[in-house]
Amino acid sequence: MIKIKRKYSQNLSFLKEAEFFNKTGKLVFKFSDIIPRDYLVVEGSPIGRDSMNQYYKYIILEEDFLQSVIGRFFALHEIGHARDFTTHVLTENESSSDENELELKREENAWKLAQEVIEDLKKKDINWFPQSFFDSGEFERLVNICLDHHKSLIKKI
Amino acid sequence: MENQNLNENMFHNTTQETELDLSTERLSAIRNDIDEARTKDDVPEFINVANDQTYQIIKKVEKN
Repeated sequence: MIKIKRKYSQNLSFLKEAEFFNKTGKLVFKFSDIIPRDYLVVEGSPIGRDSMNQYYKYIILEEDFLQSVIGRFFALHEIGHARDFTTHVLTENESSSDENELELKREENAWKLAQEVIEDLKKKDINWFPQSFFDSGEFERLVNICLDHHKSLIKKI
Repeated sequence: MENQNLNENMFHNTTQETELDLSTERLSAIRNDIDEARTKDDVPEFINVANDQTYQIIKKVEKN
């Protein structure tokens, strides 16, 4: 069971907390535990257009993202970005660099950190995805689709 | 597993007032990003994947 707390303000929906309980009713995980400090989680992205802003510190995810595989998948990616930018702050060199390879590196890091979150959750018996999602190679396939998309953007510049 | 119990009825949405930094500047940036995302007309492959019904509902995927 999941208990969600939201705040609605100026036609925007902010996810304040999502508490995950096991079958015995014990609280086993709080969503805020995986969100870097001071980051807002906004629900309002069109599907597949999730984003993260490292300057104003917010993540925009689709509405009710926790209820779908793809919602969780993209959410973890954006959380990975937020974690990456928290521990490796954007440098002046990077922000002004023409080397878009750095951006690709950020994408790869975000997925690595997302996978770390998944592993941490598994240790707490929180399985955000069916095991078949990993065993079938589907998770990896979707990650590669994302990375290929970013590579294609680099080629266009 | 928690996601076996995941459906709309088990979400208990509440609204609580706690401190969130909702400065005008921050809200404006959020709105701009949402508006930009809504008006993008490119369709990269992962958008197609995102719209795939297979991935929409946790239970459906578990059955598969």
